[in-house]
Amino acid sequence: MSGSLEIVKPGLQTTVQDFPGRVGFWRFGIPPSGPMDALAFRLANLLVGNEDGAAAIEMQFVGPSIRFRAGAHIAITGGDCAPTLDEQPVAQWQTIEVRAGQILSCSVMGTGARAYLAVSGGLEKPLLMGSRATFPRGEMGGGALKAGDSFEFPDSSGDLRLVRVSQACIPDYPSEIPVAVTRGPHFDWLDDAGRETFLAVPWKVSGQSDRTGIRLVGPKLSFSRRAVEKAPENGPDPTNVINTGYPIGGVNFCGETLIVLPVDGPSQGGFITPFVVPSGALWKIGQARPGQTISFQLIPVNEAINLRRGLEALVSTASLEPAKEESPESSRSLNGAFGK
Amino acid sequence: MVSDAVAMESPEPGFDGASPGLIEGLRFLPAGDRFVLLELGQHMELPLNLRAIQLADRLLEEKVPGLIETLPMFISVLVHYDSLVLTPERLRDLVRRAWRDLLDESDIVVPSRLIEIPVHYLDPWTKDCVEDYARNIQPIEYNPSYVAKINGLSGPEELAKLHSSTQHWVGGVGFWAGVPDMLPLDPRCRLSIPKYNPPRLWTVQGAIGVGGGFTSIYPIESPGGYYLIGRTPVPIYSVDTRLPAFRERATLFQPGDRIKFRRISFEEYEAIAAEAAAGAYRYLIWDYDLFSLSRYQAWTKGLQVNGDAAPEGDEA
Repeated sequence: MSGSLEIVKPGLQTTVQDFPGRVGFWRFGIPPSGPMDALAFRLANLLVGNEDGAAAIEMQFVGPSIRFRAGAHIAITGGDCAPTLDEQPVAQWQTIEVRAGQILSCSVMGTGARAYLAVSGGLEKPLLMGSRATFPRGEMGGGALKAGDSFEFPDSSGDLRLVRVSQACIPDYPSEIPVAVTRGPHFDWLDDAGRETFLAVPWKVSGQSDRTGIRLVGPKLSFSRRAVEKAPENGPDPTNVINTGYPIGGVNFCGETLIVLPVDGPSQGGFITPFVVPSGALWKIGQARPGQTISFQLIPVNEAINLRRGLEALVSTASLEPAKEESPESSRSLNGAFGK
Repeated sequence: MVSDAVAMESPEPGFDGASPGLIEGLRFLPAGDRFVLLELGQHMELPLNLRAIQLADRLLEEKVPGLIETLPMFISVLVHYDSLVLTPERLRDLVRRAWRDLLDESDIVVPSRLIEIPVHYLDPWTKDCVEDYARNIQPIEYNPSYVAKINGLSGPEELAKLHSSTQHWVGGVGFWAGVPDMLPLDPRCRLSIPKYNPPRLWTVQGAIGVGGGFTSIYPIESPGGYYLIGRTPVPIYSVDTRLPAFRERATLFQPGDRIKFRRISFEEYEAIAAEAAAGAYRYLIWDYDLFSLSRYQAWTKGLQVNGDAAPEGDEA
């Protein structure tokens, strides 16, 4: 037995993703894809009892409407997308029971940039190179979902415990976003003043941002001699370097434009990476909205490893607690269903 | 504020793997909690690229838990690892051992596939792209004429001959999925070309572009900055896993490949394009070859002794 869901309205860019995505093909220029905010994504899977690698839905800025053709347990996490089930508001960050025929609608996001919908059992989709993730720009694993697209999921709506993420473990999506960075391979291409300015000012998130790059607007930075007195094959601009691999999370300096490279970013190129957003902080970049600001704090690599440890600890049942009694609305409708 | 603990001017020789360090000329540059960039030198030289490809492969050979993947480029290797499984310190030891082993070897020999790519040089489609740019962005010369002129060639015909008379070395792959960065192996076929400024808004899929000293192929329709000299009818990127060449992954090329462009006519282009669209095209790939730096260097030395004339016809 399996159930299915159907996209009624697609939203702005709704995709199927899995974590950690299509890993192992970076040398061929194929990005891992996967969720832009891995923390919220993984918590959504945890809430419905899925394995960490289960496929689920990412929505961006404007969420989709989805009809469930069978009952399921679902969870919505990430940015506040004001979800409703048959037009009744439902809570995020907790397990919800959905009955066959119900329509889940997610709206314009009030906070954050992306929200996640996990369905118990995970969405079924053919593996491409070991992953169900979608790289929309490369039409890899399909593209953004369209009205009429449907996905099956295993029927596992039985005896799932209804849980929620405890308040202390729900991440914040503030409009002034503090983000940790470590130094990158080209840290010494900036001079002291350049580094200090980078770390001192709030960087504004540009509207020209997507899963391939989050662009930042800010002041001009100054460079060290290393960036200027270099072999000509590096290129004429201080930010030019002989083409080199890009770390995911790298803060790439392209002339005067700064781009944080997320999970769908380019694998290599001819621009410097003086800083890197570590894996434990990259989820914050995935929730940054145009017009918001990011301030960077420099941490050593060992602290970045601890940050990742902290994130892994958060994606565990220790972050969950039993959900409150069912809301009057859902118990009433259940009574109604059984009363006949 | 930049604290002393993280400030750095040059890598330290005694280092823990979480900070930058130097291993016999190789710069070990941590980049967050899951990447390290290994820089093999400062200059664009084929031997460094070969070392990078070799080092990237050697590191993966032992299948060390926590070492996820490596990405070789011209003079660097990006290492992707899981620092909760493999500590930076142990990664440093691994890199040190692999690098020292390589330095002990007198020659550099890497596996290198030879792949034939059919190209219709001086084609009508890339001409359209260029004319579109000239109409909508700014005036620009017919690209093959311009590239020929600034490289002292008689015209587009000589350019096409020169470009198809050498094997092209794939120094790295990426930016976009499957894009090859290629350099001519025959030093007599080197070109020097600027890039579009501002870039083109669109380029046909399969366009052959030249920029700097490189040749590349546009895997999908996209913006671009390279001068366009031809077009291939065969895909170099496809998510159609029914095609044998793309069964394992969506991209054709890998670092260390050699590409031979075969000149084809307009009619051949159309025939091969139809074959490719039907999923019936079979790539010519010779995948048993090894590339030896010492033998390559001996060959290029011989070329200089025999004079500088460009090779005739379509021979490698």
